[in-house]
Amino acid sequence: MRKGFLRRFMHHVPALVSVIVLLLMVLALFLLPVILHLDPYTTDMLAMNKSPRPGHILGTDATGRNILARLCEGGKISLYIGVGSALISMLIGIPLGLIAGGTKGFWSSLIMRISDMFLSFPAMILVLVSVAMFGSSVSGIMLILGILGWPAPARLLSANVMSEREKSYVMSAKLLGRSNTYILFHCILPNAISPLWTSLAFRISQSMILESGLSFLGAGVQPPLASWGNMMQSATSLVVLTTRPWQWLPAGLCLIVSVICINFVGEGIRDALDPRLKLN
Amino acid sequence: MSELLRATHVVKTYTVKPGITGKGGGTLHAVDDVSFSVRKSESVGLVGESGCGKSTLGRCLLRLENLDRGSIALEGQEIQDISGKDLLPVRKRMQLIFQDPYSALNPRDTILKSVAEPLQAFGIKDRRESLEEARSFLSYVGLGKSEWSKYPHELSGGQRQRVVIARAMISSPAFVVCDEPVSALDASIRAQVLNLMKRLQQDTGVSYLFISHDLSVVRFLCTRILVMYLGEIIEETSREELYSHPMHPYTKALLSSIPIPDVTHDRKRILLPGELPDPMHPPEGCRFAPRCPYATDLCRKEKPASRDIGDGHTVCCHHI
Repeated sequence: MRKGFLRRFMHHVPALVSVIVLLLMVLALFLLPVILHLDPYTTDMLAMNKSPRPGHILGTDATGRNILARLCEGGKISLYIGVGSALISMLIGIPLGLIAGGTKGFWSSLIMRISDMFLSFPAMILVLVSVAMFGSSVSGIMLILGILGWPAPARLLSANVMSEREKSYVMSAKLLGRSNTYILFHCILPNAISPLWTSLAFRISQSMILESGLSFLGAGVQPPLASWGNMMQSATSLVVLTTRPWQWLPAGLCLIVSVICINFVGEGIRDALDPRLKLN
Repeated sequence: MSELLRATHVVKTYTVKPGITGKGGGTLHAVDDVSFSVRKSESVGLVGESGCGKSTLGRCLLRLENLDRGSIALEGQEIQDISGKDLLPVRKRMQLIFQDPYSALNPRDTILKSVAEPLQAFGIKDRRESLEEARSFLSYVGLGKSEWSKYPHELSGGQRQRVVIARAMISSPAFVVCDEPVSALDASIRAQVLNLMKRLQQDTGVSYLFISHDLSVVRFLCTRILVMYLGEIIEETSREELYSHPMHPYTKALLSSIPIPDVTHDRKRILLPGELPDPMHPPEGCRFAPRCPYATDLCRKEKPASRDIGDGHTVCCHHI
């Protein structure tokens, strides 16, 4: 199965390209500052708002900090928040989804109604309020985004569990005297969980976008810490937007590229995990 | 031949919750006071139209549903109240062959694993031995070495149904319910699968309860036939008797629906008006009366009792 999974994944060209791009990007985020001796917090008083030049390959920002250094630092933080919060969402969503899908009655409907409540709020407003209440440290933002993201995986899993448990092979396992717990974890869960890997990838990219939006609005990652979102904040000024594209364009491009790549990877995983999809 | 399974006055009802307006609630009688028995190495057919309760009866016999009333005895032991761990020895003796061979197999298991699983689950053999046995059993049902490591979706419908049959039969059960096992297959494959089932019966001495709405299929495999209508068994007799002298008007109508491959044959089809009545509100008196061409006032008022008219032929009708 594992071997088959890799082989199938390799056949998905956009996903394969995306994995390579993402790997190169992560490698760059961690290695470039070391190789080029870049520090995201050092200000160069003699080079404020300077366009790209030797020594400052991507130019400097308003306080003379190296944009490339901040791009790497911000990427690390953005990725950290994206991956971390998606994992937190899964950690909450998977058990709740299993309970909601595997049982009938009170607990199932309680979980579904609570998830309705979560989904009926506009995410951005909810995050803004939560950040205002609980502070905007990096782990705080990660936790808030993670907690707010649980309904999507939970609903997906519970819907899948519900449809799987009506299938004949579940009845067949029952006829072999298997217990309900055994059936839930050994028969239903493996068949119901594969769309969740895709959902995990989409959660990561979504959290990264939310984080950037939040930082762009000034409520997310606080300077002097860098994030792709708060680097783009400089574009709120018309002068920067029109005359200094090096200050906001790289962060925006990085965000777009990484989000698209993560989504492609999610799609590739989904196609590779489904044994019913045929390779051509 | 000795008796293997006996169902006595089996009743299965479902409670339907009323809708938001308070209407539509009530009790649905899926199986209503059904009694019959199956002997060792016998094939009993259970026929009736969709929704008459034949699948529910099958599931009740296999203890997938709890009975409301009545009892089921397997090899002399009453099994309707057994639960939990004690049910395992009973499960070992009974199996089910599913209608839809696609969903009956776990899509993530290779067919070899699916077929070996019953032996491990029942603790009959350890892992290595059960895989060994599964290999030889798969060969027996006509699936060669090249197919063993395939997944269900890689097989054709007929092959899948062979796997389902192998999975049901490998633990050598005494009683197997076949819930429309060939109705999802096309005609050429149907014959192969039916022949396989017949061969398995000759080799292992298993008893079949063959649920179907297709009388020609039942005729091929079963020696005794039960006709079910709206949760009740209305006629029970041997195959020869049923096809030559059907007594109940409903059975006559069913038999007249079998196509005869002869263009010059001038047959009289008995067309029944209407549909199966709502099982939530079954008609008073004889349940077939609203659709019966011979119904009289007696039929509409009083429920006919089941009567033996000789040679184990029982009919449930006022006019016999």
